[in-house]
Amino acid sequence: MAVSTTGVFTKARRAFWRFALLPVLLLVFTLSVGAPPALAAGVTVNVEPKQIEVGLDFAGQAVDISGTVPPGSEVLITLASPARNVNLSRKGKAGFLWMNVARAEVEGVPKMYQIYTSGKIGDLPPALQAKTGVDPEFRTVRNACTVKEISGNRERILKGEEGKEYFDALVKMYRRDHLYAVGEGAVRTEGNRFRVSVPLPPAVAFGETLVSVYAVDAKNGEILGEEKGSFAVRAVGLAGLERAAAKTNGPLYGMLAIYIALAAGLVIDLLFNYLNKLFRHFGKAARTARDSREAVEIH
Amino acid sequence: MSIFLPVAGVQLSAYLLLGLGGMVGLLSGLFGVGGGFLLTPLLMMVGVPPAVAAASDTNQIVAASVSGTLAHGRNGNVDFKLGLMMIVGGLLGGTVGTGLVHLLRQLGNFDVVIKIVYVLMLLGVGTFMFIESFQALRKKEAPPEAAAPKQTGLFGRLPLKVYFAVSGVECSLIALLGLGFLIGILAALMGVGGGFIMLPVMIYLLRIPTLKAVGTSLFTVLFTAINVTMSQTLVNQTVDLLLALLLLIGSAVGAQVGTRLGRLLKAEQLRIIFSLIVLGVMVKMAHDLLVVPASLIGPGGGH
Repeated sequence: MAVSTTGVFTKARRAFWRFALLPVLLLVFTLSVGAPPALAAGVTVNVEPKQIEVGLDFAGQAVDISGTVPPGSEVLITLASPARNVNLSRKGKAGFLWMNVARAEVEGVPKMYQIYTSGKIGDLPPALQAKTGVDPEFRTVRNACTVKEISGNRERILKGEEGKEYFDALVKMYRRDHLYAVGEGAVRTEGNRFRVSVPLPPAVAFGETLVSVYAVDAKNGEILGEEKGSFAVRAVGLAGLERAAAKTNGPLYGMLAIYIALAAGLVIDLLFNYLNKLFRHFGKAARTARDSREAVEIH
Repeated sequence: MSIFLPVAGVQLSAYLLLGLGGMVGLLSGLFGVGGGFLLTPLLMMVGVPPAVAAASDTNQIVAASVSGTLAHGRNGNVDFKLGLMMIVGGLLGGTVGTGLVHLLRQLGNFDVVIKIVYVLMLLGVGTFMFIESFQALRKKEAPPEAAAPKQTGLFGRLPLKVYFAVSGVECSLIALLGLGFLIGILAALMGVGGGFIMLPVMIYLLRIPTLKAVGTSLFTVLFTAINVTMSQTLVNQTVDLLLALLLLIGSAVGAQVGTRLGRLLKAEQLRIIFSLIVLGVMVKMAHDLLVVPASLIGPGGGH
């Protein structure tokens, strides 16, 4: 009985080695060969603060991005807010007049896209720029969005280069608002640590902004490691209430807007009328006093 | 003091917005116009997205027109009965005009034709008003306004005549509804509020005294502004209440000042300033149509 019990244990142990440990070993092997470079290269990222609260006094805020990369590697960082659709219009000649001849909807474009690097962007091979999205002309963003152009009764979809004219005009507007920015050499490195302070403009994009950090070997055009972080921008207090009401409760918001305007008009009229009466009253009182003084002087 | 505007998504000076509102309100009180023609481009210039600028500007007009209408009404310068007739006609015309825009757009070249017509109309109305008021000013004696009940020309000969005591005119209801209807159609075709067309129509076609025409026009503008604000919040969700609030405080005060200032001016002086504004808007529109724009692609939305 004892022999048979030992035999059972031996069999069980063999089965354990065969069916349980073997997959574990396989997993370890797979991880060591095909693991994400971030883990292999030891890239870490920390974003502070993780929540940006936008109130009525919001005038922009700095976000600190720091972390570690393999020593000697260059650091590339991109910030991309959620993709959205934007309406544009194009002027052209209609006869001898300059008029709006087409309107377009740019689909899937982030309102904010910023690039920060520790070195020169020109030193990065084009393939690496395309892969990381670190491109001063924002080609990666352009290739990811679609432009739907409507001109008269004609509608056409413009992709990539075709939509360049619209995309470039949009980027120009966003650059003016400091939403699209390139900070070449703005990332400071020390040993294996890096740090950059990103100034978010007042026209900040709401939602979750994705922060992608790449450690690269610029000479060989290799990505040594990458890691993602994020921060959220949300409206709070009165600003939050107003945004939520405008977006989700149109009829109530509309009625409220009209009632407030009507009430303001009414109150200001009453106030002016009251002031008018007050001035007239004091004017009359002053005149009466002057008249009676003059009457006394004459007598 | 800067303030973040949640729907517009920009930070602007509160004083700047109060000032802009005040300036436009002054025009409303003086001439009975909404002032969107001036405020929307100004807001866009300071960084407000076009769709938000156009919608919030309309909400501001509600406050300015209430404030101005009450101030004018207190002095007996608003003909509510006549104004209501024009509003009914205007709402019907606006509905027909909106359908007409859709139909005409399919025929092509609609926008070109309508822009040319609008510029020519502003040129005609502005020039006529300027010459007429200038000649009236040169004559020492002002024309007798608000004397005996006046027959309003061709419109006085149509049936269903009613006497409007405030304006001192006798006019056919059919003519009033018809004129309101035409103004509504024109406003819808041209994408404007209609204040620019309303005032000359009241002064020259209905022969209403200038100050009473200003007050009554402002009363009609109120309804147009409410209508547009409501549709903007429902369809586009682009009214920024905070932006509108700052503008409307300024404009309601401006409308009061404008009303009082209007009483100090002669009717001819009021008309001549209004004609210069009409001609100024015409020049700006003609400039935009004829000169190569600085940027061919711009943000969509707006008026």
